[in-house]
Amino acid sequence: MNHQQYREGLLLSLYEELNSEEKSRLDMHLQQCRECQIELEEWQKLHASLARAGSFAPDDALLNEARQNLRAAIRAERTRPSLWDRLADFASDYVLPDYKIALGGMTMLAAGILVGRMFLPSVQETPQVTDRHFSSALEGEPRISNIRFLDSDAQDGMIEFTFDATSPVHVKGSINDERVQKVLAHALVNDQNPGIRLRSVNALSTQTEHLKQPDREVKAALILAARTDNNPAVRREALKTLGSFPFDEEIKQTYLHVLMQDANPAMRIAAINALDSARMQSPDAELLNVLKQRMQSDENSYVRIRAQAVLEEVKQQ
Amino acid sequence: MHSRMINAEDEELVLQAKSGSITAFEQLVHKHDKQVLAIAARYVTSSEDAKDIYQEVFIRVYRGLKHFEMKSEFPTWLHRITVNVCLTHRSRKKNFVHVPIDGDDDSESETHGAELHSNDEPTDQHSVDSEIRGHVQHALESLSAKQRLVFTLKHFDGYKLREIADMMKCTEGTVKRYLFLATQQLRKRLRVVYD
Repeated sequence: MNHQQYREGLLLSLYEELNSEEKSRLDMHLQQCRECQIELEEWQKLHASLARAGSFAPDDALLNEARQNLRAAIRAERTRPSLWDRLADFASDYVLPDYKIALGGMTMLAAGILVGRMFLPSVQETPQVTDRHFSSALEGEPRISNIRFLDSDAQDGMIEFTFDATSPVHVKGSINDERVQKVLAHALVNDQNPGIRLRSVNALSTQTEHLKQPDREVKAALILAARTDNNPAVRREALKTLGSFPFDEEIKQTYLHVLMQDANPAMRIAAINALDSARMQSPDAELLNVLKQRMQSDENSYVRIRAQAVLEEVKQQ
Repeated sequence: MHSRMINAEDEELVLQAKSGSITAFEQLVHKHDKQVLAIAARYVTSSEDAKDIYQEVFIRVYRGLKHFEMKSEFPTWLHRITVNVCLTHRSRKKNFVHVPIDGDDDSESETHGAELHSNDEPTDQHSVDSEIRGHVQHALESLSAKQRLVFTLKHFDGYKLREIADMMKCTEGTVKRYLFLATQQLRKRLRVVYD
């Protein structure tokens, strides 16, 4: 190694990037090279200064905010037209005017196939709409999207393409039906419209009031909504609905998360009240610690007072 | 053993997410996003930029999942995307304002340090450290995009040089060079702090 390599080696040594052989060669060189000893001291001083500046790690509030923004962006992403849709629009409008008639014909063909499928006796893809548990279910007009041409040359009289067909489904069924609940849970997590999410969680809350064994998927959706939905009304209703479920570690962690992370004081108060109502048999150190932190440092005076009251209450148990 | 369990869990979540489960995707995000945000927050100067990078990374993951063949582990793929987004974010925005280390605008540097990161109780020691933080932040901003990324990945996140090389798709020697240049530059700019 030349002198420059030893100098670089000093830095790599501080970052534990040298193997044992390189390290011992460097140590031997250091013993006899004053210049490198000074260089090492300089690196060590730099590291000490960097250590005092902290780790530059983001705080939990930022993480929470980023997660909420991401959920909204993913929702938008899910409703965004695909590249194929946009290309098809572009092509039909500007690039391929000669194919307009063919495209129209193909769409009609696709619609015809769909109508044919609806009148066939075995409609296996939509068992839920004919199931006895759904007292009324009607399919609406199918929506065709994502047409992909495998062969668009109609000169030989044949074309080939694939497409996605989605049909609106009208359902009138019992709120106790597990599948109805799953649809509502799905809407609660995925729907872009906060009004729909709120109505979904409201519907779920009426159903879960007397539930002994909640559906796992519904519970997961409620927990996710209580923690991360960007609409406070949805978060609040999800948190309230969780209160109807048997209290467990997951629900406790959700309450604690809301109490520590939610920027909305009404949510933090709701979390304290939920913890209070849960009447835990043996309050653990984590709960006491969170309540103590809120009591001492929450910016909202009512949250501080409630945290103190509940803390005293659980300590007396 | 533990690592294999984690990988199996990731693999399962990736498969579910690929088949359209948004819950599985969210679980993947929540499992790995702290590290992504940490990389972003150390790389950029404002919380808004850090959130932009975070969002861009996971939108790319969401779009790219259907093409992800699990030839590499999910975190490796995720960190490669993070590195790419960081580098393009910097080159796209080019909004880093360089303030000389011996400039007189210390208040701005302190506010800036406080914007992204949580603070402890105010004490004398805290205010000294906060001042150092401001100097370090300015010094980091003076680095080139790649130097800064290599330095933050190595110094703060503790990645091995070969891992950084893999994320940046370059050789370990190149990473060493960036690291050395970055630390030389930091040493020059921070001498005022430690001398």
